[in-house]
Parts: sequence; C-alpha cells; structure tokens
Amino acid sequence: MSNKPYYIFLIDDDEDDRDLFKDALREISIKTEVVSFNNGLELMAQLEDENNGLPQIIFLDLHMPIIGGEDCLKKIRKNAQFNGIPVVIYSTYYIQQMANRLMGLGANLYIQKPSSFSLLKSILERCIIALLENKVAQEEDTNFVLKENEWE
Amino acid sequence: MGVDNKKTIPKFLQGGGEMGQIMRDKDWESHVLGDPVNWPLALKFAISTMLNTKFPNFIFWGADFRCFYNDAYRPSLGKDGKHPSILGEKGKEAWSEIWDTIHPLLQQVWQTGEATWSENQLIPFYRNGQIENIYWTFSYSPLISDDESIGGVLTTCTETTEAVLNLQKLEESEDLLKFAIDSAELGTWDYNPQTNEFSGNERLKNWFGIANDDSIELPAAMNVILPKDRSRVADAIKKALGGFNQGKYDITYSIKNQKNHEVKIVRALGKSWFNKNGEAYRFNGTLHDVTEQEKSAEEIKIANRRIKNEKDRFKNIIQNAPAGIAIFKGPECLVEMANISLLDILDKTSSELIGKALFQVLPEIEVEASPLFEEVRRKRKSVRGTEFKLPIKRKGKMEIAYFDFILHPVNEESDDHLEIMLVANEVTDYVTARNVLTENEYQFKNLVMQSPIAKAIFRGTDLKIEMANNRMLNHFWGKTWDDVIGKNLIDVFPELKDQQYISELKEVIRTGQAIRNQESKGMHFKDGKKFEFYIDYVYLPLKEIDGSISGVMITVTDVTDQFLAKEKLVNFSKELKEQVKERTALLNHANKKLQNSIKKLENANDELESFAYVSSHDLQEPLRKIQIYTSRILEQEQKSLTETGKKYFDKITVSASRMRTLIDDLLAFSRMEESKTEFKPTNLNEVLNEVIENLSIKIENTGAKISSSSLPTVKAVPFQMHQVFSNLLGNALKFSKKNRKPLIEISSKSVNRKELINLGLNTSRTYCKVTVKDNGIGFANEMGEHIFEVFKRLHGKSEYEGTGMGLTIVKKIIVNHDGAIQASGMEGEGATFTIYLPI
Repeated sequence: MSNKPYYIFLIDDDEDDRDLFKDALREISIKTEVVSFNNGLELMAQLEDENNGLPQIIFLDLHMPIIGGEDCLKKIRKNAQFNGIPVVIYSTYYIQQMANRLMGLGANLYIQKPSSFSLLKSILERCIIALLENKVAQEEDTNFVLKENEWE
Repeated sequence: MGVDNKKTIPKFLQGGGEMGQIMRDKDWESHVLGDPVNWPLALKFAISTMLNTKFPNFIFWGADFRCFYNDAYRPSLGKDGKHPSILGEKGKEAWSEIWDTIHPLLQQVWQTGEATWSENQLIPFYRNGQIENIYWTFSYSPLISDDESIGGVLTTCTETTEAVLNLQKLEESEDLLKFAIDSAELGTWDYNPQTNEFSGNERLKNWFGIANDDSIELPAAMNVILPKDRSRVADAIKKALGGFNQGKYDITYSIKNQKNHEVKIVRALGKSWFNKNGEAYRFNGTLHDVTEQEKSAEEIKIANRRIKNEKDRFKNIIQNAPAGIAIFKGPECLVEMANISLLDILDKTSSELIGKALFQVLPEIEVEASPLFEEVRRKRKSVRGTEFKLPIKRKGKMEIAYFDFILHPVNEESDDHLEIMLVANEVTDYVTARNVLTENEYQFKNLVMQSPIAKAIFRGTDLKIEMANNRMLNHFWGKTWDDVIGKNLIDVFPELKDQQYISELKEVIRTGQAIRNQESKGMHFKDGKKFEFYIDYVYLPLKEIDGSISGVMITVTDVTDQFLAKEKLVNFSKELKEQVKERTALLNHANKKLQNSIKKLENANDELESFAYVSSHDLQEPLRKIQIYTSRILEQEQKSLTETGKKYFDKITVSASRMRTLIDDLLAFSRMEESKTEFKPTNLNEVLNEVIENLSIKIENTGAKISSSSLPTVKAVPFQMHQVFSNLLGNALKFSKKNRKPLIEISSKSVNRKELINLGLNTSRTYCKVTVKDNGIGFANEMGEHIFEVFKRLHGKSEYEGTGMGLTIVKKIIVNHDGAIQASGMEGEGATFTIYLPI
C-alpha cells in the first residue's frame, strides 16, 4: 500500500450519487483522490488533455446524457493511451445481457449501486483492492459483477 | 467192140475204176496217140499214177493238151457234160469255155517248168446241163517227157465249191449277226480268262470312253463300272467263270464314260465257255444300254408308290375324316367298312362292327334307321336327314343323339350286293345347345318382359316396334301390346315428333354408337293428358353378324321422382349454403372484431409490460436513494434518535427493501418478453454451480446443504435458466423451517411418454425433468397450482419476505422453453418442484 492516494475518476450525472461515492471513499482505509465528471464528454476532454494525469480507475455510470457510459467505454478502450486503465461500470441497473456486453467491450468490473451506505463502502474498498493492490493476479477470483443482494 | 476184148491190156491201164475201164475200152487205134502200148513212157507213168490216186487228177498231154482224168475228178464234170467225151480230146476243144483262163496258166507251166497254186478259184464250166460256178483249189505241175522236155501238165485239184459256198454262207450269217447286233445297239465283249484280255466292239468302247484301237485290260474295263456296282459285277464274273449256272451271266449295272463322264445303266448278258478240263477259256456276251428302261422302271416305281400313297392317304382321310363314314352291303346291312369317327359315334370297336349285320350290333336303332336303308334300296337314290333323332347305347347308357346324314347307294348291283354309303355327322351338342339357347332365350325374353326396367326394341330406320316389355307398355306408353306391335314408333306416338328421341334413335342406327342420357325431360300424352317426365335412358345399337345396324334396344328408367326430390334437395342445399354464407360472414366479422380486441389487448399488454419495466426501472433510482440515505442516518445519527425514531427508521428500511425486491422482480418479469432469443445448449450443472456461488453467503448463513446429481444440457436461454434455479434455490433457502437446516436435493431423470401426455407436452420431443426438493415449511398439496400465480403468497408477509413473483417468473420461463413445471408439497415437511424441459 502506497501513501500516495489512488487517483480515481467518477463519471455520473447524478449529483447525490457523486456525493455518496466521494463520502464512501473518504471513509474507507484506502486513500483516494476522486475527480468526478457530469458526463462522458467532460471525461473525454479531461483524458485527452495531455497536461492532465491519467486516473488509476475510472468508475462509469451507464445512463447519462450526451455520451452514455457504453459509448464512453468504447472511446476509452479505443485509445491506446487509456486502454490500460481499469474501468468499473457503476450503475443502478443490472441486466445480465448488458453486463456481458460491457465485459466484452473491456469493462473490468460491474458494480450495481447498493442501497446501503456501509455496503457501498465495502464494495468500493474491495473493488479498489482487487483492481489496484491485488492487480490482475486476483482478477480471476473476483466476480465481474458486484451486486448488492449477493453481498448481504 | 467185142473183137477188142481179146486185146491185151497194157499194165498201166489196169485198175483205175470206171475211168480205167473207159480208157481200156477206148478205141485208141483211130486216135492220134495211137495204141497206148506205144505211148511215151512218161505218159504211161503219169496215167498209171492218175488212175490209181483217189485225189482228183487231170492231165493235159502234148502240145495240143490232150485230156485225161480219173474217177476222183469225174464228179467235177457233172452228170450231163464233158464226161466221157473229152477223154483224149484237145484241151482247147474240151475246155473251150474256160480256155482263155487256163491256157495262159498251162502255157506258163509249160514254158517255166514251175508248178502253180490256185486256191478256191472260181472256174465256172458246163456240167449238169448248165454252166455252173465251180470253185477249185488246184495246182498245175509239169510232166517231164521221155526226152526230158516238158511233155504235159498234171492238174491236181479239188473242187472247193461247197466249202466256198459254205464259207460264203457263214460270212453272210456273220454279217446278219453283226447287223442284228448293230441294230439292237448292243455292245459286244469277249474276254479270255487265260490271257486276261478283253475286247469289245466299237459301241462298247464308245460307251466306255476308250479309243477304238485300244485293247482293253480287264481292270480298265472294271474301272468303268461305278464303284457301287463294282464288287457285285466282279462277284458275278467270278461265278460265271467258275461254272455257276452253266457259266451264264446276267447282270445290270452302271458305267461311267471315262471321257465325257456320262453314266449309263447297262445289262450284260454272256456265257463262259469251258474246255474238257472244265477251265473257262472264253467268256463273252453283249452289253445292252438299259438306262432309259431303268429310268422308266424307276419312274414307274415312283408313280406306283405315289399311287399307293394317294390310295393310303385317301384311305387315311376316310379313316380319319371328322364325319362318320361307313359302307353297308346287302339287305342285312353288313358293315363293310366304318371309319374312326363312326366307331366313336357308335361307341363300338372295329371288330365289334366290321363284317356284322348293323342291326344285330345296334338293335336299338333298327326301328328308326332300317326304314331309311329300305328307302335307299327301293328308290336307288340318296336319302338325307338333318338333326335326325336316334337312341344310341353308349358307354352302357341309352342316349338320345342327333345326326345330319346322307345314305347313298354306291353301286348298281342287285339288292343282295347293293352297297350303301353312310356319311353321318353327330350334331347332338349343337341341338342340345340350341335347345338350351332357345330355353334361355325364352327365359331371357320373359325376364325382359317382366323386368321393372322398361325396355323396347325398334327395327329399321322406321323404328318399327318389335318388342316392348310390360313396364314400357304400362308405365311409359300406356298401351297394350296389340296397340304397338309391328307399328312404327312415330305413328304410335306422334307427339315424339318434336322431341329429340326419334332423331337420337335414328342416329344410333346410322352410326352404331350408343347414346346415354340422364334426367332427360320428356313429355307425352296418356289418356289424353299431357305428362312431363324425367328419364335415364340408354339406346344400344343391335348389330347383325355383318356389322350392320338393324335396330336399337332402349332401356328407360323413370327418374321423375328422384329428379324432383333432388331438385328439392338442391334448392334446399342452395338455401343452406346461403345461410351458411351469411353466418360465416357474421362469424368472420365477429372474428375480426375479436382479432382487433386481441390486438388491442396485446398492445395493452405490451404497453403494460413496458410500463412495468419503465416504472420499475425508474422507481429503482429514488428507492435506492431512500435506502442509502436511511442507512446513513441510522449509521451516523443513531445516537440522536429516540428508540421510537429508530423503530420507524427500521420500518422504513424494511418497507424500502420490500419495495426493492418487488421492483427487481417486476423488472425480471417484464424483461422476459424482450429476451426470447438466444436459445443455446446450456449445461444445467454449470448454471446450478453459478447460482450456488451467487447464493454462497445465504447458504453459509443458513447452514444449508445442497446436493445434486448430474444434470443434463438443455437448449435454453442461459440467463433465464440462471433465474429459474436462482429463484427455486432462493425459495428453498427462504422458506426453510426454523430450527432445521435446509436440505436441498437437485436431481434429474428422463421423462416417459405417458408423463408427457399427462402434462400436455409435445410427445415428439425428448424431455428431461429436474427436481428441486427441500425440507422447508412446504405447502398444502392442493395449493400446488396456485403457487405459480402472480403475487400469490402462501405465507404471511412478515414471516417470509418476497414479492410472490419468483415462482410466476419461473413458470413463465419454463413455459417459454416449451416445458412445464409442477409443484407438490406437504405442510411442514417440504416442497418439491419438478421442471420439464426439452433437450
């Protein structure tokens, strides 16, 4: 574990969710620095500006205006520069077919937004540990989908 | 002359027979030669020799050739002639008639002193009162006189007239023979068995094809004979030469000309000649060309054979003639001859009949048959009969037989020798058959007359009514038989004139083509009223043997009743059809409405589903926020809350959680429609493992034991199968009994046909069934079907959380997979869910 906080992007059009996400990360043991975007367009502008540093994880909501999460993912995975950044889908809805499709497009994890704050914290923590600290080695053991009711 | 008797007779004149006497008696004194005693010695010797030889001798002596001769010579001078006057006369005078012939010869001997020899010389001279042709073989030899000069000529001669004449006769007879042979065209042959030489006349050589001057060796002569005859001929020759049958030889054989290869048949006749020792020294005879004869003989043979064949054939024909033929003789009708057919007809053998009196052998026919024979005898003319009935005993049984016959007198003899020929043909079968036919015809006519189907026959182009049965007369025509018989159809029924029937009937007669018609409308008058009728009818042409059409037979069935009934029926069915049409239109209209309703309903359903989806989807978001903020308050503001406040928050949390489940289920349910796709082989073991993995926390928490046997792979939508197992296992865990650890058994079995039928599943597909059995709280078995209804909850809300949609979703998925699900349970003991899925 490094002292330097993990640099994390969140793209979500819902302000409540953005706040809850930041609150949750603040309360977990892992240090993070979160930058959030209202939509995919903003994210892409940020990423494509070479002056900015690249995040270590991108959390991506699906249902967003202008550019939806799926299109955003395609753009990220199309660009060799960002291709290596883990992308976590972060959505209220879970439909298996859609989840499968997104995994095919290169999403690393799929988190259904939980309905309890403590669960949110624990999921995000596990998620970050799995993706950054255990790196890819643990990936096989980790379910792609992290759904609330299966974590109870 | 008596004086001279006393004279001394010189010795040289002694003897000598008559001529000696004559010479002694001759008055030589007056002769120029004087007394014989004084004759030259040479003359005396010559005379003495002459008189004493038996060979005819004649001596010419001296220059004037004085003649002397002996007894042997005298016959040559005949009876009335020169004898004895020429004795001592000059030669010139004695032989004046031949002197020119003999004088030169005499002169030649005189001068040359050499003897002459003439054989069979014709020297005709006068004797027996005439000049005779006399043949001599004679020699003139010189007589030496006393002075050693030639003093005379001695003629020694013998008359050969007889020999010459015999020879001439022989020659003549040879000529005759030759002529005979020539004119008989005979070949002659002569064979010397000792030299083996064979000779033949010119003709024979011609036949043999051998040059005329060739001499023939026997083998060459044998070569001419055709090989087939050669040994036979050789044999016959051998026999003839061996003396068999006195050496006679008679054989006929064929020869082949060596030059032109002409073949002749020849008959050889001959004989062998034997010497004292019995050896054949000659074998000769003739050869006769019998080719033509043989040919004729052969032709005659062939002709005879042909005649015999013809005779045999004729006899054979008679014997084997299909008609019975016999000849009877005399008043007793003795059977002289009877052929096979007749014997067959009478069922008698030849020996039973031939030579016997007819009516003794066949007494049963006497009564009928004997008058016929008597009539022939009386009239001397043929008697004929056709289908003559005669009782005959055949095969031990009396039968009635029928005959066509002729009895015919064969000769002109008296009654005792009159021969009568019978030619008879049995026609019993024909008569019997005709009788049967007549009977059949009668019956047939009866049948037709009585037939319930109207029939009639019309003849000729006038359609004369020949026959009409009762049905026709009574039903159609309303006439009696007497009204119509022999009349023309048109005269009886003038109303037919304008209807098609007459012209159709005439057409049948013209073309020979039958005409059939059904339900034809006709009209006629009966009892003065007009009737309409409907008929089926057939007009059949009646053909004569020569193919011409002489009439029509008509068959008519009255179908008026049927026709009218059918008309009614047709009208009725027409009405019915109309009604059906109407009703169908109504039904179609109703159907259309229904379709519309269904469509609307479907649309509504779709709308409802999409509403459910959208609403549950959009409800999710705020609900989650309610939950998460509630959880934050509970977490962070716990201390500032009163117990009651906490309790209310708990209630909010429970309600929100319930709502959350409700929304999830609603979503899952409504989403099913949109994901019908992607049926693929799905391994249920893998699906189950995933579900167990996902439920691992709950399983751990409840301490549940899950066991499963091997599950099949089915064709399914994988995530839906996931949903099914997830719901079923979730339920099993959820409805577990308190104080009893859940035990869940999952097993699989194949499904038999009977089960499929009971479940109403497609029997042509193979199904498997998977059973999920738990030991939970169970349910009353009678609730089995209701358990799958939407929002059906069997248990209190508070007791067991859930929306009541889980099993509904399971059922919907299973049904979408063409499967079925059954639930059975026992209150407090557990539940069993069985799902049937096609493989």
